[in-house]
Amino acid sequence: MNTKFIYSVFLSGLIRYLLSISKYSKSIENHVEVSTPLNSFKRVKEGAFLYANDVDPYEGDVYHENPFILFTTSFLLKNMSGMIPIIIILLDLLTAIFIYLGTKAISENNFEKQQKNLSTYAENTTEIQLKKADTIEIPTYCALAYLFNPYSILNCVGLTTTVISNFLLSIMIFSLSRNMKILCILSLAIETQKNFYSFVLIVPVALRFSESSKSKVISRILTIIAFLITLLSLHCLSFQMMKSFNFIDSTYGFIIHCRELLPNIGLFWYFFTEMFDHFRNLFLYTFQLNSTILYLLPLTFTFKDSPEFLLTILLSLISVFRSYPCVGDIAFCMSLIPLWKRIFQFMSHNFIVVAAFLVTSILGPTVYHLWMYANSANANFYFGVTLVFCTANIFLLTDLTFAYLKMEFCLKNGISFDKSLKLSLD
Amino acid sequence: MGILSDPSISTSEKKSKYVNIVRKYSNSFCFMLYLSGVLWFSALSFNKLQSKTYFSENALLPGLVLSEIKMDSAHLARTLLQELEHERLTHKSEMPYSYLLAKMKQIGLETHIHNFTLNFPFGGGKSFKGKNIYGILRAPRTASTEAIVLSIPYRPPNSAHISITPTVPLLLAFAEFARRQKYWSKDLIFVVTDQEQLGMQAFLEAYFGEENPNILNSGTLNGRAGNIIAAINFEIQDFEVDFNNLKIEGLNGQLPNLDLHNLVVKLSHKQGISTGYKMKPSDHNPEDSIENLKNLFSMMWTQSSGVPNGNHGLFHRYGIEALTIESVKKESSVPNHNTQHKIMALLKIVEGISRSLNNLLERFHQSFFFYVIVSSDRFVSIGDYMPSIGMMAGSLLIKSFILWLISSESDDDKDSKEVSKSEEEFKVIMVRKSERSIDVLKVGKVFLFAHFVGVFALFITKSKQIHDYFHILNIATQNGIFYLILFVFILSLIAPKFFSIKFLDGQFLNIILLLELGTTLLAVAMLNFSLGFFLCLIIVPVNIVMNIQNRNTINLFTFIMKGFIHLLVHPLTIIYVVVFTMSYSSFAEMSLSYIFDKSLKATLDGITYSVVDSLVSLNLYLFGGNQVKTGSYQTSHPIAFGNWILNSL
Repeated sequence: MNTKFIYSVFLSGLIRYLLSISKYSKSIENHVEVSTPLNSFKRVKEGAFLYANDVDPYEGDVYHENPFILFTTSFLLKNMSGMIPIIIILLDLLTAIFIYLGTKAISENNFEKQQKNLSTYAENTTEIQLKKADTIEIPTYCALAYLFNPYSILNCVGLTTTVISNFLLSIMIFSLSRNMKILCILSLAIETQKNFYSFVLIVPVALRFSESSKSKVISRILTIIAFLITLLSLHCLSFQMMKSFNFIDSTYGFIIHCRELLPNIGLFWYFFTEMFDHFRNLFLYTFQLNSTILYLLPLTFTFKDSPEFLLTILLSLISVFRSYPCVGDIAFCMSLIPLWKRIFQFMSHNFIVVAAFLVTSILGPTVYHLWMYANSANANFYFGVTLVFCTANIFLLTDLTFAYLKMEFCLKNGISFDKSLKLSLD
Repeated sequence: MGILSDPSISTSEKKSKYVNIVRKYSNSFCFMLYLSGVLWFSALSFNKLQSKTYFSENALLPGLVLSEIKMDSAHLARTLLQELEHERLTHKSEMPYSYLLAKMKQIGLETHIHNFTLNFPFGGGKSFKGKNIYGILRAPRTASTEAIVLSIPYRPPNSAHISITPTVPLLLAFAEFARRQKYWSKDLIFVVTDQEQLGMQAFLEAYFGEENPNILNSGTLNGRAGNIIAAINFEIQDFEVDFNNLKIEGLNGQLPNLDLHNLVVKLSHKQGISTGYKMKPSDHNPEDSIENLKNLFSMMWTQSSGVPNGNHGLFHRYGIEALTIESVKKESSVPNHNTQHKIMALLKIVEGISRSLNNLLERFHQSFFFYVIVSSDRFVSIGDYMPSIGMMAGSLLIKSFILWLISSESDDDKDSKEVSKSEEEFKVIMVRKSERSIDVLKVGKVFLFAHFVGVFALFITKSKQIHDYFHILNIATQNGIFYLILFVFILSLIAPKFFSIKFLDGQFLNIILLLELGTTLLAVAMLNFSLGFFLCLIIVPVNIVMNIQNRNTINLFTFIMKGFIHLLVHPLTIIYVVVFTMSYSSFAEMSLSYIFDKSLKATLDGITYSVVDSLVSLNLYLFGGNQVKTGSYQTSHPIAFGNWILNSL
């Protein structure tokens, strides 16, 4: 880590701190783009209050965090409630540092892998190969992309528990890159207990850990079993803490059934407010399949040689298609994109994606204001904007995927070849 | 799936062919798009392309109930008017509180007084006091969960505005009638407000428990009714009514639901009083496109200022549908025996509107909230006018896309040549490439500085310390604010000398700014269509025509021309020009130099008013001044400035 990087950590910490003490922090906290029923700080406070008064917060319909967060937050709120913004900011900065360390190891690893496979590459492909200098540049870009991303700043100032999720994910990536199996599985299991969808990430984790072992299949199965056991014991531990299994319905049940149709930047709420009741289950499971395992197998087979890329893609997928997405999730996925810097030249929709993000980020709050406060626009306006936002995300995702495939192809076959050649999709 | 996953790997040959075409015609293409946006809007003046107004909300049942109000209410209104005129002889500069209080109590309303204080933010902190009186008629059949507001601005005899004395007697007579009815399902709140819009703002703030104690201390209310469904503001100049004029534009250009407008129009026509938006005594020919276009623009002109033209406009911020009925008196007031008949008609209109609103089961949510009215029975809806804004603002986005294509293409050209070269040559090219690559940090600095100047201008004009300092120096607030803005203006004029950016960086900055400008214009147009439209009309062509040129190749004449055009679209200039033309058209007989002078003063006043306004009533646009045209200052300043920097390189 160089001094410049440390400066930028301080600078972004300062920005976050200044914003959190300014008068805008409250309105940021209340924005639906930032706070969802799953992660809002208001509900955390509510749950801690109920818990302090010997009421099971999971009996009601308000609290949806897991028991660990309930314990820590109620402890913090009781003993040092004034420090919470600072703790959250520190967690966010630590996230960036873990992203830095993790992506550094990943890019070094990728570089080594490339040197090993150099003989299989075509001639004249040095230009699109990873260079030694990249292993220093890439982690800096990744960390900066997290530190100065407006989405992650808003997420942090809004004091959402997505900051904790991002922290856990960054630990997972860090430990994954350093082959620290126990830490990786533990952080992923805690995150899964909080956020259901991230269970799909065990696939790239298992793929990555099996790379160094002799019998790959057994290693993969062992990793998955270890993950399941950890998850199960976490739930048992939670049961010990709460003395009931109510929390499962309040977290997993709430996420899967999408019970609260508060507007957010995702695709669920509008669809399910319009839905006829007897079709609800059908579409609910279709949507949930789409956001979890529908793409899992095909993507796994395509990218089994690069588990880190698979991880990036899966993370982006679940952050777009989950039932309560927020900008914090998207900020985390965006921070992993610089990891694939060398494939940028193969991407073709950069401008459209950037423009769409810009336009929707400004128009979204505008039409939400018109709808909610001015009482003149309606849900369709806001949904229109969020639909474009999601489309931009999906464009980015598909573009990234195809660019990666194109790059692989070019590494094998060279850059200059017959112009009429086309890459077939099947 | 072609868009998502273009499977071709190398398309530079095909691409460059496209790019060459695009590069050649980019400006004319964007300009055509802009023009088609303008034409689209002009086309809306044709009769065939507008829609006829209709009722979407069935619960309103306009005019279905039998009118029960009798002649005795009209007599009462007349008597009350005579009493009030008598009171006004002794209360020259304030409301006759005790009289009004007694009358309202006598009628049987639950009457309260509401005190408020305005601490004027500038000029060393003077404070003004005011008092509203309001009476609530409790609905006999429900538990005060919903309410309708009938608001009456009171103007003392020495007020500068047109006298609207008969309003209070008319509404009191109606209240007396309404109290005897038992069908009300919503409370009726009769508010007599003091100090024009200030009183209304204070009443609403107090009603919704909003606290803004530093500037407008709105005090507390002793009695409340429920959720306000709708509000009608009355300004009746005389019982001898010629026609009713409707005012609908609210704060920040918000409009009431079209159903409410239609309701008032329909009920007034039923009583034989011609009523409409911006009603003129003369008849209107719906086939006349020029006349239609004039009407469209006249509504947009008022809306774009973002300042409410009546007390109704302040309700919109709370999501309450509201409009003002202004009854204009007959010019040639020949003594007429028919006055009683006219009072009756007015009372029936009030009764009809109240009963229709009383029928409502849900808040207004049908019909249109975004529209432009052409005449009392024709309008243009959002779906019809939005494409024109889309094309105008979109042309900026497209231009920035084209610039991006061109600049990335020139990179690609280099790339394809590099491939065949040996390793050493490749290194040389890489070095050269890094020279020609974009210096993001430098561009970021200019970008941040431009925005900083904009925010600075916003902050500095509102800062209390600075205004206190002005007060000590004995500088009038208008002049003080003008000096501040001038200071920022000069700062932005000399700033480009401190930045030197290369051609490529300039290109990149231009791409970003065009994107930002296009997005901002779209967002402004969503909030206030008219403002967005006029801003587009002025700003877009300038930004399309302006291209970044290399400093070495540009000649002096173009350079000066560019600077001049940028001065022309500077918000201060625009505001001045607008005020000047408006004063010229209304005071054509005066000498030019006088008008120059006068409009400069009016501009300063306008800017000051808008600063005060933005503090008091949370006007979204800082410089959406009273007679001043644009809110562009805040929104476009950083961008205008950024472009200025770009083009003075």
